[in-house]
Amino acid sequence: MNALFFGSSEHPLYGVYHAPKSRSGRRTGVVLCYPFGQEYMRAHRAFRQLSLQLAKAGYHVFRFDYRGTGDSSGDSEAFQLASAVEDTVQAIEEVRDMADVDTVAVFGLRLGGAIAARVAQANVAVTHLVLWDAIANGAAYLEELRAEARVPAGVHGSTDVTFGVMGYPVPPGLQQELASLQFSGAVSPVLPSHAVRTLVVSDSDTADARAFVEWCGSAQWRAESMIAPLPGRWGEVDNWGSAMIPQEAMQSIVTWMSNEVP
Amino acid sequence: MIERVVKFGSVASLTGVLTEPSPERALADVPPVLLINSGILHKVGSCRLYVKLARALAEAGVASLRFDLSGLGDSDVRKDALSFEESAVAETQEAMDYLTRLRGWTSFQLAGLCSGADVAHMTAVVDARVVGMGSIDARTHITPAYWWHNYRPKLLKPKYWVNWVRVRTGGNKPASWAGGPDDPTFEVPTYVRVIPPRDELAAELRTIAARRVNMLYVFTDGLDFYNHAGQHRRAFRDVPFGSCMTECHLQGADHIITDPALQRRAIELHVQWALRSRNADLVPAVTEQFQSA
Repeated sequence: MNALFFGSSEHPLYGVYHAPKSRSGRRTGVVLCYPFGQEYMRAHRAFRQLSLQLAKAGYHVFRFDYRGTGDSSGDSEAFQLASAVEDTVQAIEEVRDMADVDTVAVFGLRLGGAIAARVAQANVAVTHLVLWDAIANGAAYLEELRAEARVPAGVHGSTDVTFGVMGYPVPPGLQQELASLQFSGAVSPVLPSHAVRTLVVSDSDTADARAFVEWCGSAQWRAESMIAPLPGRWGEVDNWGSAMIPQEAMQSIVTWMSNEVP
Repeated sequence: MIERVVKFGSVASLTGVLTEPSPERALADVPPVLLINSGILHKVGSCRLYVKLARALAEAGVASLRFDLSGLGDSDVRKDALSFEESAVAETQEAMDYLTRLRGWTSFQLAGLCSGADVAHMTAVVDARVVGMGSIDARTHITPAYWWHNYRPKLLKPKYWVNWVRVRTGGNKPASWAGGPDDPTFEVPTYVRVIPPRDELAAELRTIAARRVNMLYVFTDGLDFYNHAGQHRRAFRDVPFGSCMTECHLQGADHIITDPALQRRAIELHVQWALRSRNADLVPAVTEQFQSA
Protein backbone atom coordinates (compact mmCIF):
# COMPACT_ATOMS: atom_id res chain seq x y z
CA MET A 1 0.00 0.00 0.00
CA ASN A 2 1.48 3.30 -1.03
CA ALA A 3 -0.51 6.42 -0.17
CA LEU A 4 0.15 9.69 -1.96
CA PHE A 5 -1.30 13.03 -2.93
CA PHE A 6 -1.66 13.54 -6.67
CA GLY A 7 -3.36 15.85 -9.13
CA SER A 8 -3.16 19.63 -9.29
CA SER A 9 -1.69 21.73 -6.50
CA GLU A 10 -5.03 23.56 -6.42
CA HIS A 11 -7.01 20.37 -5.64
CA PRO A 12 -4.64 17.72 -4.32
CA LEU A 13 -6.26 14.29 -4.22
CA TYR A 14 -5.45 11.47 -1.84
CA GLY A 15 -4.93 8.05 -3.35
CA VAL A 16 -3.55 4.65 -2.43
CA TYR A 17 -1.65 2.52 -4.92
CA HIS A 18 -1.47 -1.24 -4.50
CA ALA A 19 1.34 -2.81 -6.52
CA PRO A 20 0.73 -6.28 -7.99
CA LYS A 21 1.62 -9.11 -5.65
CA SER A 22 2.07 -11.70 -8.35
CA ARG A 23 3.99 -11.85 -11.60
CA SER A 24 0.98 -12.41 -13.78
CA GLY A 25 2.04 -9.94 -16.44
CA ARG A 26 -1.28 -8.07 -16.30
CA ARG A 27 -1.31 -5.06 -18.58
CA THR A 28 -4.39 -3.31 -17.19
CA GLY A 29 -4.53 -0.98 -14.21
CA VAL A 30 -7.61 -0.88 -12.00
CA VAL A 31 -9.10 2.36 -10.64
CA LEU A 32 -11.69 2.10 -7.89
CA CYS A 33 -14.44 4.72 -7.46
CA TYR A 34 -15.92 5.07 -3.97
CA PRO A 35 -19.59 5.72 -3.25
CA PHE A 36 -20.84 8.91 -1.55
CA GLY A 37 -21.47 9.91 2.07
CA GLN A 38 -21.84 7.28 4.78
CA GLU A 39 -21.70 4.63 2.06
CA TYR A 40 -18.08 5.72 1.52
CA MET A 41 -17.26 5.07 5.18
CA ARG A 42 -19.16 1.78 5.18
CA ALA A 43 -17.44 0.57 2.01
CA HIS A 44 -13.91 1.77 2.77
CA ARG A 45 -12.83 -1.48 4.38
CA ALA A 46 -14.33 -3.49 1.49
CA PHE A 47 -12.38 -1.32 -0.99
CA ARG A 48 -9.17 -2.00 0.90
CA GLN A 49 -9.86 -5.74 0.84
CA LEU A 50 -10.85 -5.67 -2.82
CA SER A 51 -7.67 -3.76 -3.68
CA LEU A 52 -5.54 -6.31 -1.86
CA GLN A 53 -7.29 -9.18 -3.66
CA LEU A 54 -6.91 -7.52 -7.06
CA ALA A 55 -3.22 -6.80 -6.34
CA LYS A 56 -2.84 -10.46 -5.42
CA ALA A 57 -4.39 -11.30 -8.78
CA GLY A 58 -1.63 -9.28 -10.42
CA TYR A 59 -3.22 -5.89 -11.06
CA HIS A 60 -1.92 -2.40 -10.39
CA VAL A 61 -4.74 -0.99 -8.27
CA PHE A 62 -5.44 2.61 -7.39
CA ARG A 63 -8.21 3.86 -5.10
CA PHE A 64 -8.61 7.54 -4.34
CA ASP A 65 -10.83 10.13 -2.67
CA TYR A 66 -12.68 12.63 -4.86
CA ARG A 67 -12.18 16.29 -3.93
CA GLY A 68 -14.41 17.20 -1.00
CA THR A 69 -14.28 13.62 0.31
CA GLY A 70 -12.02 11.53 2.51
CA ASP A 71 -8.46 12.80 2.84
CA SER A 72 -8.56 14.80 -0.40
CA SER A 73 -8.65 18.58 -0.45
CA GLY A 74 -11.82 20.60 -0.36
CA ASP A 75 -14.79 21.08 1.94
CA SER A 76 -17.45 18.38 1.93
CA GLU A 77 -19.79 20.86 0.21
CA ALA A 78 -17.37 20.85 -2.74
CA PHE A 79 -18.24 17.31 -3.81
CA GLN A 80 -19.90 17.30 -7.23
CA LEU A 81 -20.38 14.68 -9.92
CA ALA A 82 -18.62 16.76 -12.56
CA SER A 83 -15.51 17.25 -10.41
CA ALA A 84 -15.59 13.59 -9.33
CA VAL A 85 -15.49 12.61 -13.02
CA GLU A 86 -12.51 14.94 -13.56
CA ASP A 87 -10.78 13.47 -10.50
CA THR A 88 -11.31 9.94 -11.79
CA VAL A 89 -9.72 10.90 -15.09
CA GLN A 90 -6.73 12.23 -13.13
CA ALA A 91 -6.60 8.97 -11.14
CA ILE A 92 -6.51 7.03 -14.42
CA GLU A 93 -3.60 9.14 -15.62
CA GLU A 94 -1.85 8.62 -12.29
CA VAL A 95 -2.06 4.84 -12.40
CA ARG A 96 -1.05 4.77 -16.05
CA ASP A 97 2.07 6.80 -15.18
CA MET A 98 2.90 4.92 -12.01
CA ALA A 99 2.35 1.42 -13.31
CA ASP A 100 3.27 2.05 -16.93
CA VAL A 101 0.03 0.52 -18.19
CA ASP A 102 -1.86 1.75 -21.24
CA THR A 103 -5.35 0.64 -20.35
CA VAL A 104 -7.48 0.58 -17.22
CA ALA A 105 -10.52 -1.09 -15.79
CA VAL A 106 -12.71 1.23 -13.75
CA PHE A 107 -14.70 -0.16 -10.86
CA GLY A 108 -17.47 1.83 -9.17
CA LEU A 109 -19.81 1.15 -6.28
CA ARG A 110 -23.21 2.93 -5.98
CA LEU A 111 -22.69 6.59 -6.97
CA GLY A 112 -19.10 5.65 -7.77
CA GLY A 113 -20.58 3.36 -10.44
CA ALA A 114 -22.31 6.29 -12.11
CA ILE A 115 -19.05 8.27 -11.99
CA ALA A 116 -17.13 5.30 -13.43
CA ALA A 117 -19.67 4.91 -16.25
CA ARG A 118 -19.44 8.61 -17.10
CA VAL A 119 -15.66 8.34 -17.27
CA ALA A 120 -15.76 5.16 -19.37
CA GLN A 121 -17.98 6.95 -21.91
CA ALA A 122 -15.30 9.44 -22.82
CA ASN A 123 -11.95 7.94 -21.93
CA VAL A 124 -10.34 5.65 -24.50
CA ALA A 125 -7.94 4.25 -21.90
CA VAL A 126 -10.88 2.50 -20.20
CA THR A 127 -11.37 -0.98 -21.61
CA HIS A 128 -13.34 -2.58 -18.77
CA LEU A 129 -16.01 -1.34 -16.42
CA VAL A 130 -17.38 -2.98 -13.29
CA LEU A 131 -20.53 -1.44 -11.84
CA TRP A 132 -21.59 -2.69 -8.42
CA ASP A 133 -25.05 -1.71 -7.21
CA ALA A 134 -24.47 1.38 -9.30
CA ILE A 135 -26.91 4.31 -9.41
CA ALA A 136 -28.54 4.54 -12.83
CA ASN A 137 -31.42 6.77 -11.76
CA GLY A 138 -30.05 9.83 -10.00
CA ALA A 139 -33.47 11.32 -9.29
CA ALA A 140 -34.57 8.18 -7.42
CA TYR A 141 -31.29 8.17 -5.49
CA LEU A 142 -31.79 11.83 -4.58
CA GLU A 143 -35.23 10.97 -3.22
CA GLU A 144 -33.65 8.18 -1.15
CA LEU A 145 -31.17 10.67 0.27
CA ARG A 146 -33.95 13.14 1.03
CA ALA A 147 -35.97 10.47 2.78
CA GLU A 148 -32.92 9.41 4.78
CA ALA A 149 -32.31 13.03 5.74
CA ARG A 150 -35.98 13.45 6.69
CA VAL A 151 -36.23 16.55 4.53
CA PRO A 152 -39.63 18.14 5.27
CA ALA A 153 -42.29 17.32 2.67
CA GLY A 154 -42.51 20.92 1.46
CA VAL A 155 -38.86 20.88 0.51
CA HIS A 156 -39.14 17.70 -1.56
CA GLY A 157 -38.66 18.44 -5.22
CA SER A 158 -36.66 21.55 -4.46
CA THR A 159 -32.96 21.55 -5.18
CA ASP A 160 -32.28 24.99 -3.70
CA VAL A 161 -31.42 24.08 -0.13
CA THR A 162 -28.48 22.08 1.17
CA PHE A 163 -29.52 19.16 3.28
CA GLY A 164 -27.40 16.70 5.21
CA VAL A 165 -27.54 12.93 5.15
CA MET A 166 -25.97 11.32 8.21
CA GLY A 167 -23.32 14.01 8.46
CA TYR A 168 -22.71 14.57 4.74
CA PRO A 169 -24.01 17.70 3.02
CA VAL A 170 -25.91 17.45 -0.28
CA PRO A 171 -25.60 20.98 -1.69
CA PRO A 172 -27.88 22.36 -4.43
CA GLY A 173 -25.30 21.80 -7.19
CA LEU A 174 -25.03 18.11 -6.40
CA GLN A 175 -28.81 17.78 -6.11
CA GLN A 176 -29.23 19.26 -9.58
CA GLU A 177 -26.62 16.91 -10.99
CA LEU A 178 -28.32 13.92 -9.38
CA ALA A 179 -31.75 15.02 -10.58
CA SER A 180 -30.56 14.88 -14.18
CA LEU A 181 -28.39 11.75 -13.84
CA GLN A 182 -29.81 8.88 -15.81
CA PHE A 183 -28.44 5.83 -17.55
CA SER A 184 -30.82 3.84 -19.71
CA GLY A 185 -31.22 2.44 -23.18
CA ALA A 186 -33.49 5.37 -24.01
CA VAL A 187 -30.92 7.97 -23.11
CA SER A 188 -28.23 7.65 -25.73
CA PRO A 189 -24.78 7.85 -24.28
CA VAL A 190 -22.13 9.82 -26.07
CA LEU A 191 -20.96 6.94 -28.18
CA PRO A 192 -17.28 6.42 -27.67
CA SER A 193 -15.05 5.19 -30.39
CA HIS A 194 -14.05 2.22 -28.30
CA ALA A 195 -15.75 -0.79 -26.75
CA VAL A 196 -15.89 -1.24 -23.01
CA ARG A 197 -16.46 -4.71 -21.63
CA THR A 198 -18.81 -4.26 -18.68
CA LEU A 199 -19.86 -6.28 -15.66
CA VAL A 200 -23.03 -5.13 -13.90
CA VAL A 201 -23.19 -6.54 -10.37
CA SER A 202 -26.29 -6.12 -8.26
CA ASP A 203 -27.80 -7.38 -5.06
CA SER A 204 -30.87 -8.61 -6.97
CA ASP A 205 -32.51 -7.99 -10.32
CA THR A 206 -32.83 -4.23 -9.85
CA ALA A 207 -34.11 -1.54 -12.19
CA ASP A 208 -30.74 0.22 -11.94
CA ALA A 209 -28.87 -2.91 -13.02
CA ARG A 210 -31.23 -3.48 -15.97
CA ALA A 211 -30.87 0.16 -16.97
CA PHE A 212 -27.10 -0.13 -17.09
CA VAL A 213 -27.26 -3.29 -19.20
CA GLU A 214 -29.59 -1.50 -21.65
CA TRP A 215 -27.35 1.55 -21.63
CA CYS A 216 -24.33 -0.60 -22.50
CA GLY A 217 -26.38 -2.23 -25.26
CA SER A 218 -27.20 1.15 -26.77
CA ALA A 219 -23.46 1.89 -26.87
CA GLN A 220 -22.75 -1.52 -28.47
CA TRP A 221 -20.79 -2.50 -25.37
CA ARG A 222 -20.75 -6.13 -24.24
CA ALA A 223 -22.33 -6.28 -20.80
CA GLU A 224 -22.72 -9.16 -18.42
CA SER A 225 -24.92 -9.29 -15.32
CA MET A 226 -24.03 -10.85 -12.00
CA ILE A 227 -26.30 -11.21 -8.99
CA ALA A 228 -24.36 -10.95 -5.74
CA PRO A 229 -26.61 -10.81 -2.68
CA LEU A 230 -25.49 -8.51 0.14
CA PRO A 231 -25.72 -9.13 3.87
CA GLY A 232 -27.17 -5.62 4.35
CA ARG A 233 -27.67 -2.23 2.73
CA TRP A 234 -24.77 -0.01 1.73
CA GLY A 235 -26.67 2.97 3.08
CA GLU A 236 -27.36 1.44 6.47
CA VAL A 237 -25.85 3.41 9.35
CA ASP A 238 -25.64 2.46 12.97
CA ASN A 239 -24.44 4.42 15.94
CA TRP A 240 -20.90 3.06 15.65
CA GLY A 241 -20.16 3.53 11.93
CA SER A 242 -19.85 -0.14 11.04
CA ALA A 243 -18.40 -1.52 7.81
CA MET A 244 -19.85 -3.98 5.30
CA ILE A 245 -17.49 -6.44 3.65
CA PRO A 246 -19.39 -8.76 1.29
CA GLN A 247 -16.56 -11.22 0.88
CA GLU A 248 -18.33 -13.61 -1.50
CA ALA A 249 -19.43 -10.85 -3.87
CA MET A 250 -15.93 -9.39 -3.86
CA GLN A 251 -14.42 -12.77 -4.64
CA SER A 252 -16.84 -13.22 -7.56
CA ILE A 253 -15.84 -9.81 -8.94
CA VAL A 254 -12.13 -10.61 -8.62
CA THR A 255 -12.67 -13.96 -10.35
CA TRP A 256 -14.54 -12.30 -13.22
CA MET A 257 -11.83 -9.69 -13.58
CA SER A 258 -9.04 -12.27 -13.44
CA ASN A 259 -10.72 -14.12 -16.32
CA GLU A 260 -11.77 -11.15 -18.43
CA VAL A 261 -9.32 -8.31 -17.79
CA PRO A 262 -5.80 -8.92 -19.13
CA MET B 1 -1.93 24.80 5.14
CA ILE B 2 0.18 21.95 3.81
CA GLU B 3 -0.86 18.31 3.87
CA ARG B 4 1.50 15.46 3.13
CA VAL B 5 1.35 11.70 3.36
CA VAL B 6 3.76 10.18 5.87
CA LYS B 7 4.80 6.58 6.50
CA PHE B 8 6.36 5.28 9.66
CA GLY B 9 6.35 2.26 11.96
CA SER B 10 8.89 -0.42 12.65
CA VAL B 11 6.64 -3.50 12.80
CA ALA B 12 3.88 -2.50 10.39
CA SER B 13 4.02 0.26 7.82
CA LEU B 14 1.62 2.92 9.13
CA THR B 15 0.13 5.63 6.94
CA GLY B 16 -0.85 9.10 8.03
CA VAL B 17 -1.51 12.61 6.79
CA LEU B 18 0.50 15.37 8.41
CA THR B 19 -1.34 18.69 8.27
CA GLU B 20 0.74 21.75 9.03
CA PRO B 21 -0.18 25.41 9.14
CA SER B 22 1.44 27.77 6.69
CA PRO B 23 4.72 29.05 8.22
CA GLU B 24 3.31 32.51 9.00
CA ARG B 25 0.46 31.00 11.04
CA ALA B 26 2.39 28.26 12.84
CA LEU B 27 2.41 28.49 16.63
CA ALA B 28 5.73 27.00 17.67
CA ASP B 29 4.73 26.70 21.33
CA VAL B 30 1.64 24.52 20.74
CA PRO B 31 2.39 20.80 20.58
CA PRO B 32 1.02 18.94 17.55
CA VAL B 33 -2.17 16.91 17.83
CA LEU B 34 -2.31 13.21 16.95
CA LEU B 35 -5.75 11.97 15.90
CA ILE B 36 -6.35 8.32 16.72
CA ASN B 37 -8.80 5.99 14.90
CA SER B 38 -12.19 5.37 16.39
CA GLY B 39 -13.18 1.72 16.04
CA ILE B 40 -12.58 0.50 12.52
CA LEU B 41 -13.17 3.92 10.94
CA HIS B 42 -10.13 5.02 8.98
CA LYS B 43 -8.21 8.21 9.65
CA VAL B 44 -10.77 10.44 7.92
CA GLY B 45 -12.97 10.02 11.02
CA SER B 46 -16.72 9.74 11.33
CA CYS B 47 -18.41 12.18 8.94
CA ARG B 48 -14.91 13.43 8.05
CA LEU B 49 -14.46 14.78 11.58
CA TYR B 50 -10.69 14.24 11.74
CA VAL B 51 -10.07 15.86 8.36
CA LYS B 52 -12.11 18.91 9.33
CA LEU B 53 -10.47 19.09 12.74
CA ALA B 54 -6.97 18.77 11.26
CA ARG B 55 -7.67 21.64 8.87
CA ALA B 56 -9.27 23.80 11.60
CA LEU B 57 -6.21 23.20 13.78
CA ALA B 58 -3.90 24.20 10.93
CA GLU B 59 -5.96 27.34 10.43
CA ALA B 60 -5.36 28.12 14.11
CA GLY B 61 -1.62 27.47 13.74
CA VAL B 62 -1.44 23.91 15.09
CA ALA B 63 -0.02 20.88 13.27
CA SER B 64 -1.68 17.49 13.42
CA LEU B 65 -1.15 13.93 12.31
CA ARG B 66 -4.11 11.70 11.54
CA PHE B 67 -2.96 8.16 10.98
CA ASP B 68 -4.23 4.63 10.74
CA LEU B 69 -3.29 2.12 13.38
CA SER B 70 -2.10 -1.23 12.01
CA GLY B 71 -4.75 -3.17 10.12
CA LEU B 72 -7.01 -0.14 9.79
CA GLY B 73 -7.56 2.18 6.83
CA ASP B 74 -4.38 2.43 4.78
CA SER B 75 -1.95 0.89 7.24
CA ASP B 76 -0.51 -2.61 7.03
CA VAL B 77 -1.33 -5.43 9.40
CA ARG B 78 1.06 -6.25 12.24
CA LYS B 79 2.52 -9.72 12.20
CA ASP B 80 3.29 -9.98 15.89
CA ALA B 81 1.03 -11.14 18.71
CA LEU B 82 0.39 -7.89 20.56
CA SER B 83 -3.15 -7.16 21.73
CA PHE B 84 -4.89 -4.09 20.33
CA GLU B 85 -4.34 -2.25 23.61
CA GLU B 86 -0.59 -2.92 23.42
CA SER B 87 -0.12 -2.31 19.71
CA ALA B 88 -2.26 0.85 19.63
CA VAL B 89 -0.21 2.46 22.41
CA ALA B 90 3.07 1.29 20.85
CA GLU B 91 2.06 2.68 17.45
CA THR B 92 0.93 6.01 18.92
CA GLN B 93 4.35 6.23 20.57
CA GLU B 94 5.96 5.39 17.23
CA ALA B 95 4.00 8.26 15.69
CA MET B 96 5.43 10.60 18.33
CA ASP B 97 8.95 9.24 17.76
CA TYR B 98 8.51 9.81 14.05
CA LEU B 99 7.39 13.42 14.52
CA THR B 100 10.36 14.04 16.82
CA ARG B 101 12.71 12.81 14.11
CA LEU B 102 10.88 14.75 11.40
CA ARG B 103 10.26 18.09 13.12
CA GLY B 104 11.95 17.96 16.49
CA TRP B 105 8.68 18.08 18.41
CA THR B 106 9.06 16.59 21.88
CA SER B 107 5.60 16.97 23.40
CA PHE B 108 2.26 15.98 21.92
CA GLN B 109 -1.49 16.18 22.34
CA LEU B 110 -3.62 13.12 21.57
CA ALA B 111 -7.25 13.14 20.53
CA GLY B 112 -9.81 10.60 19.48
CA LEU B 113 -13.39 9.45 19.52
CA CYS B 114 -14.47 6.35 21.43
CA SER B 115 -11.67 3.77 21.18
CA GLY B 116 -9.47 6.64 19.93
CA ALA B 117 -10.11 8.36 23.27
CA ASP B 118 -9.27 5.13 25.08
CA VAL B 119 -5.94 4.82 23.24
CA ALA B 120 -5.17 8.49 23.98
CA HIS B 121 -5.82 7.81 27.67
CA MET B 122 -3.77 4.59 27.74
CA THR B 123 -0.85 6.32 26.04
CA ALA B 124 -1.07 9.38 28.30
CA VAL B 125 -0.81 7.14 31.35
CA VAL B 126 2.52 5.65 30.26
CA ASP B 127 4.13 8.41 28.21
CA ALA B 128 5.10 11.76 29.72
CA ARG B 129 5.47 13.30 26.27
CA VAL B 130 1.68 13.52 26.18
CA VAL B 131 0.75 16.99 27.45
CA GLY B 132 -2.79 17.13 26.05
CA MET B 133 -5.65 14.65 25.78
CA GLY B 134 -8.84 15.43 23.86
CA SER B 135 -11.58 12.83 24.10
CA ILE B 136 -14.98 12.31 22.58
CA ASP B 137 -17.09 9.72 24.38
CA ALA B 138 -14.30 8.53 26.62
CA ARG B 139 -14.80 5.87 29.26
CA THR B 140 -16.45 7.24 32.36
CA HIS B 141 -18.62 6.06 35.23
CA ILE B 142 -22.21 6.44 36.29
CA THR B 143 -22.96 8.65 39.30
CA PRO B 144 -26.11 8.98 41.44
CA ALA B 145 -26.87 12.15 39.47
CA TYR B 146 -26.87 10.04 36.31
CA TRP B 147 -29.87 8.06 37.60
CA TRP B 148 -31.64 11.28 38.55
CA HIS B 149 -31.11 12.69 35.05
CA ASN B 150 -32.09 9.37 33.53
CA TYR B 151 -35.37 8.86 35.34
CA ARG B 152 -36.58 12.38 36.14
CA PRO B 153 -37.98 13.15 32.65
CA LYS B 154 -39.54 9.69 32.39
CA LEU B 155 -41.22 9.84 35.78
CA LEU B 156 -43.22 12.85 34.65
CA LYS B 157 -44.67 11.03 31.64
CA PRO B 158 -47.86 8.95 32.12
CA LYS B 159 -46.77 6.69 29.22
CA TYR B 160 -43.74 5.59 31.25
CA TRP B 161 -45.95 4.43 34.12
CA VAL B 162 -48.37 2.66 31.76
CA ASN B 163 -45.46 0.75 30.21
CA TRP B 164 -43.97 0.09 33.65
CA VAL B 165 -47.19 -1.60 34.77
CA ARG B 166 -47.56 -3.52 31.48
CA VAL B 167 -44.01 -4.86 31.56
CA ARG B 168 -44.32 -6.01 35.14
CA THR B 169 -47.70 -7.65 34.56
CA GLY B 170 -46.45 -9.46 31.44
CA GLY B 171 -48.56 -7.32 29.13
CA ASN B 172 -45.75 -6.46 26.76
CA LYS B 173 -42.03 -6.31 26.54
CA PRO B 174 -39.97 -3.35 25.43
CA ALA B 175 -38.58 -3.71 21.92
CA SER B 176 -35.04 -4.01 23.24
CA TRP B 177 -35.99 -7.26 24.92
CA ALA B 178 -36.92 -8.89 21.65
CA GLY B 179 -33.35 -9.87 20.99
CA GLY B 180 -32.27 -11.12 17.57
CA PRO B 181 -29.17 -12.18 15.73
CA ASP B 182 -26.12 -9.99 15.77
CA ASP B 183 -25.69 -7.76 12.75
CA PRO B 184 -23.84 -10.00 10.26
CA THR B 185 -22.42 -6.94 8.50
CA PHE B 186 -20.58 -5.65 11.55
CA GLU B 187 -16.93 -6.46 11.51
CA VAL B 188 -16.03 -7.09 15.10
CA PRO B 189 -13.01 -4.98 16.02
CA THR B 190 -10.22 -6.63 17.90
CA TYR B 191 -10.78 -4.11 20.67
CA VAL B 192 -13.68 -4.90 22.95
CA ARG B 193 -14.50 -1.83 24.98
CA VAL B 194 -14.56 -2.65 28.65
CA ILE B 195 -14.87 0.17 31.17
CA PRO B 196 -12.25 -0.44 33.84
CA PRO B 197 -13.39 -0.31 37.49
CA ARG B 198 -13.84 3.27 38.68
CA ASP B 199 -10.91 3.15 41.11
CA GLU B 200 -8.57 1.82 38.43
CA LEU B 201 -9.59 4.54 36.00
CA ALA B 202 -9.33 7.15 38.77
CA ALA B 203 -5.78 6.05 39.60
CA GLU B 204 -4.79 6.40 35.95
CA LEU B 205 -6.44 9.79 35.72
CA ARG B 206 -4.55 10.92 38.81
CA THR B 207 -1.31 9.96 37.07
CA ILE B 208 -2.32 12.04 34.06
CA ALA B 209 -3.61 14.96 36.14
CA ALA B 210 -0.42 15.01 38.22
CA ARG B 211 1.44 15.95 35.04
CA ARG B 212 -1.10 18.73 34.46
CA VAL B 213 -2.08 17.26 31.11
CA ASN B 214 -4.47 19.54 29.24
CA MET B 215 -7.71 17.52 29.12
CA LEU B 216 -10.89 17.91 27.11
CA TYR B 217 -13.83 15.56 27.53
CA VAL B 218 -16.67 15.87 25.05
CA PHE B 219 -19.62 13.54 25.51
CA THR B 220 -22.48 12.87 23.12
CA ASP B 221 -25.85 11.30 23.79
CA GLY B 222 -24.62 8.19 21.99
CA LEU B 223 -23.39 6.51 25.17
CA ASP B 224 -25.67 4.74 27.56
CA PHE B 225 -23.53 5.65 30.56
CA TYR B 226 -23.41 9.46 30.28
CA ASN B 227 -26.30 11.89 30.33
CA HIS B 228 -25.46 15.29 31.81
CA ALA B 229 -22.75 17.93 31.82
CA GLY B 230 -20.39 17.53 34.74
CA GLN B 231 -20.95 13.80 35.19
CA HIS B 232 -17.34 12.90 34.37
CA ARG B 233 -15.90 15.38 36.86
CA ARG B 234 -18.34 14.13 39.53
CA ALA B 235 -17.56 10.49 38.75
CA PHE B 236 -13.91 11.23 39.50
CA ARG B 237 -14.19 13.69 42.39
CA ASP B 238 -11.00 12.25 43.84
CA VAL B 239 -8.97 13.22 40.74
CA PRO B 240 -7.41 16.68 41.08
CA PHE B 241 -8.34 17.84 37.58
CA GLY B 242 -8.20 21.48 38.73
CA SER B 243 -8.23 23.87 35.82
CA CYS B 244 -6.70 21.33 33.42
CA MET B 245 -9.98 19.68 32.44
CA THR B 246 -12.90 20.90 30.38
CA GLU B 247 -16.04 18.80 30.02
CA CYS B 248 -18.78 19.40 27.47
CA HIS B 249 -22.02 17.54 26.88
CA LEU B 250 -23.08 17.80 23.23
CA GLN B 251 -26.75 17.36 23.91
CA GLY B 252 -28.61 15.70 21.04
CA ALA B 253 -25.45 14.44 19.32
CA ASP B 254 -25.23 10.82 18.27
CA HIS B 255 -22.01 8.91 18.84
CA ILE B 256 -20.59 9.64 15.39
CA ILE B 257 -21.78 13.30 15.56
CA THR B 258 -23.74 13.52 12.33
CA ASP B 259 -25.38 16.87 13.19
CA PRO B 260 -23.29 19.54 11.40
CA ALA B 261 -23.78 22.20 14.11
CA LEU B 262 -22.74 19.80 16.85
CA GLN B 263 -19.80 18.61 14.78
CA ARG B 264 -18.71 22.24 14.32
CA ARG B 265 -18.96 22.74 18.09
CA ALA B 266 -16.87 19.61 18.73
CA ILE B 267 -14.22 20.97 16.35
CA GLU B 268 -14.25 24.43 18.00
CA LEU B 269 -13.85 22.84 21.42
CA HIS B 270 -10.87 20.82 20.21
CA VAL B 271 -9.19 23.84 18.64
CA GLN B 272 -9.66 25.83 21.88
CA TRP B 273 -8.34 22.84 23.82
CA ALA B 274 -5.25 22.47 21.63
CA LEU B 275 -4.43 26.17 21.99
CA ARG B 276 -4.94 26.04 25.75
CA SER B 277 -1.81 23.93 26.11
CA ARG B 278 0.17 27.17 25.64
CA ASN B 279 -0.74 28.17 29.18
CA ALA B 280 -3.23 25.91 30.91
CA ASP B 281 -3.02 27.82 34.21
CA LEU B 282 -4.67 30.92 32.75
CA VAL B 283 -7.81 29.19 31.60
CA PRO B 284 -10.56 28.41 34.10
CA ALA B 285 -12.18 24.99 34.19
CA VAL B 286 -15.36 24.81 32.18
CA THR B 287 -18.31 22.48 32.26
CA GLU B 288 -20.58 23.15 29.36
CA GLN B 289 -23.78 21.82 27.90
CA PHE B 290 -24.27 22.58 24.22
CA GLN B 291 -27.35 21.93 22.18
CA SER B 292 -27.78 22.36 18.44
CA ALA B 293 -30.26 25.03 17.37
